[in-house]
Amino acid sequence: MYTAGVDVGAITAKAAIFGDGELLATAIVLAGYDRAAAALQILDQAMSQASLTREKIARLVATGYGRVQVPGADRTVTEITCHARGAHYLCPDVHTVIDIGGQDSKGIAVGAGGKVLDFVMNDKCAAGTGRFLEVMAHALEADLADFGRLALSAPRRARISSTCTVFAESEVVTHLAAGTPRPEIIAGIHDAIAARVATMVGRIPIQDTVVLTGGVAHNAGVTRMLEEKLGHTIFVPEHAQLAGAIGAALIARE
Amino acid sequence: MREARNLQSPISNLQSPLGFLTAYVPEELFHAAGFTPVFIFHTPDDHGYARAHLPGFTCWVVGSALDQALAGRLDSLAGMALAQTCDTVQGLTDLWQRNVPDIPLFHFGMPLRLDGPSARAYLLAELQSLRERVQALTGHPIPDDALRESIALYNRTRALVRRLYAHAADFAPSDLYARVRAAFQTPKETCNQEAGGKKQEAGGRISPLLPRSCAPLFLLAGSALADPVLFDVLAQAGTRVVGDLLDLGERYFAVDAAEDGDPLEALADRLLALVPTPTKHHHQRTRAAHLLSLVRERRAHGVIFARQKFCKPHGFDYVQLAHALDRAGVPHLLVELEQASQVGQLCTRVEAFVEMLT
Repeated sequence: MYTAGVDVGAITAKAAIFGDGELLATAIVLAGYDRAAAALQILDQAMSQASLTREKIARLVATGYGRVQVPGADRTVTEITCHARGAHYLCPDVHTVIDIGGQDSKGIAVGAGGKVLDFVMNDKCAAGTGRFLEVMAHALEADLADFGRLALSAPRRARISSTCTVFAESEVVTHLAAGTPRPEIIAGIHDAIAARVATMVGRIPIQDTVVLTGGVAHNAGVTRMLEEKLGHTIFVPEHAQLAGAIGAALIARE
Repeated sequence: MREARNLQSPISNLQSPLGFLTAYVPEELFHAAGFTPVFIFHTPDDHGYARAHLPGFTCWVVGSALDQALAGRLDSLAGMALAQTCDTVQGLTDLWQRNVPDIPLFHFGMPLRLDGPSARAYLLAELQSLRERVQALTGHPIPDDALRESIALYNRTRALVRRLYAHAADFAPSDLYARVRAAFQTPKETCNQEAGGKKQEAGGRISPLLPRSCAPLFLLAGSALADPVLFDVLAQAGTRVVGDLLDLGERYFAVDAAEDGDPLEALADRLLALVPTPTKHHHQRTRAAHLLSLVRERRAHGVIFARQKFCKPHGFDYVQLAHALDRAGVPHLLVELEQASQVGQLCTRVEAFVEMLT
């Protein structure tokens, strides 16, 4: 039986297809403003990879903030449940999932089989999200893909104390005016996002193995600084950004 | 029965409407004086008038009341009543008198320790003082018999709302709380007439995916009747609410006042017998013990804390209640409500909680 999961997030849409318990295909596109079109596009891409047609997909589960906009979904499931299930597939020893997406960040306590035991969410402040990194990379004219490496190259971290993305950007401007080296400012930005996420995740019990999912998982700077704040080693699976879609496709099998 | 959301009348249609905030205002006393007490619920609209007078960390229940008054939306009120609860309401007292002078304000003192040795005497003195101030404004006495009649009227409403709560799981949460809110905004005579003698009809907005037999049963805890958006989200998620510990919820209707004897003593004894809000203390009648007993009695699967942003008393209360629930192994979810809630994010939290429990 083939099942598919589509995760329509704030910035990207992701898809995963399973066949007989095996991950057959994955795909990622920018979500854009037309979430339904992005969902169809990403599903087409994944099906093409797996050489499947829509009729062959027995069940489709949609997740993410745009989950209700996914055409033809058999069921919608929150990204919290899907990330827990997906992280468990990617790392069966997982007990804590930290998902840092474009719009929010979440901490999830995970039990046997990838079941959610507890969760916390930050959905009111951009300072703990991928959007924060995007805004700062833009302000510093840095390549987002290289942002984490630049942060780790700095000998010191500038202090970014504001909890508001807009005011934090003002702090960056102040640092630039004071002649603070760019890598130190970038390191400070990463330290700030790690501090926000660590404070939030501290509200649930943190147990190894800690798995980082979501788009920001690819940023080595955030991962390293989050490890420092939490005092736990963080495992970043290869398909970290796809954990939600993978979890949705697995739930579709049930 | 009319659509529950339309049960309440516009304030301007009421006879001598008296607005009130907080869960300790003795409505019966104002009713006996000829007023129609009506709770001033917040609105999602913010005209921005109150911001010039309030600190940025003011809860939006108080902020919205002042904003509505300054915007002229409450001009038809014949008076406003506040009972002593939190610092923010105390602050509103001064602000109201200074900035809304055309709507007379009645401030009513409630003891902090409900089981303190002088609590009852203090409360009786406050009730007598309030009675005198109301009489001075209207120019008419409030006879004991009129007070007893109002008490009897309010007791009937309380009994009807208790009956509603007894069948809470038959209603979509949005319908249940539309009816409870209506009890605060509709003249009690109308409320009793419309609801009395009729079987409460269950609403039909419950998700067909989750029949009652497998729907998650929740208790709500928090301050006022919060944002109706939350109740819609709970309904859409297929959940049922089987009771609550909201300041203006089940606890408010749980205790009647005696219809014989001294009516002021009856009002005082009722207020002292209510489950305390977080701004009050009762050594034996604790909120945590009450919440845990509700969980057991109603067989609730979990508790949802609906906390209004910047509400400090409920912020501290949450820590205590959550600790008690954790020790008892009762799952709970905290949602923080803004003046205009973001539905999508609220949905994700509530749905994830439901998925966690099912």
